[in-house]
Amino acid sequence: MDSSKDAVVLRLAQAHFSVEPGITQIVQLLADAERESDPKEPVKLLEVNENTTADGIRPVFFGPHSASGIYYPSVIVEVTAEEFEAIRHGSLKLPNNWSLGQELPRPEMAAAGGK
Amino acid sequence: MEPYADWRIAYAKQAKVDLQTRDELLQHSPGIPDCQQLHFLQMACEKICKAYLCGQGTDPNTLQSSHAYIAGPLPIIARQQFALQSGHSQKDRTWMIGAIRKLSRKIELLAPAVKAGGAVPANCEYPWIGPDGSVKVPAEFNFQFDLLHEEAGRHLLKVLYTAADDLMQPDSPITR
Repeated sequence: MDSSKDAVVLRLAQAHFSVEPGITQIVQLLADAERESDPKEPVKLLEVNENTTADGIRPVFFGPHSASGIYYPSVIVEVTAEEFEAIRHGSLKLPNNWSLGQELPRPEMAAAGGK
Repeated sequence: MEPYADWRIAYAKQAKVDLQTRDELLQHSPGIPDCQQLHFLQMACEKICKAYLCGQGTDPNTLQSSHAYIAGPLPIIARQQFALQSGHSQKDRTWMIGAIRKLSRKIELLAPAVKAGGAVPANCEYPWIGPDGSVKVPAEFNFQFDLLHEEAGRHLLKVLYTAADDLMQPDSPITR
């Protein structure tokens, strides 16, 4: 199983898409390049969920789960669509100097080769 | 060890004791009012959520001061557990996340400091003024909330115990 951070972040995102239909978008969050190269730096997902409430940015921290192919710690931030727009426009700040990265595809889109 | 790691483990340990105390009450003290076991449930959920909120950039002192930390994180914790478990179709779990989201909000509202803008003053600890103007007592109030009969209630209990145990693993890389 591919243990790169890119593979792990995609695997985790697709597992979340599969288990919760309310997730409309998942975007990777990135620390600066030096931190991201550290295996102890978590993979980070910003999940836009139509079933959540607007509570601001509250990162939830998890350990690795090698048995499931999640070889790094992970962080999940769940936001509403409105909060996501505020993050994109800079009026809602991400903590720890994190920035928005790539949008991660749903499992069926990934299988079709889309991103 | 990272500075927040001790907090994670401490919250988890106390949460597990809260859960075990709730179990003891239900098993051995059947006449005790519901507010008591619900209070322990609310406290356990709050501590487990706070344990998972401890991490880079989080101030544990800020976490200490609020009770409104269940409805957001708890469904995320459940989802992470379900997403990483093998042997089940994920589609079988989708209904559970929705049910756990509703339960999480209901549990959060059991804390006296969380009143949903005054709409839900009922809580497990302190008397409040009811809609008819009379003073209500938690010990005499019917919360109409039995986890055993709530949709996904037993799944939520399993999530809570699993979460507490995971957090207390001495070799858990997140607590290094």
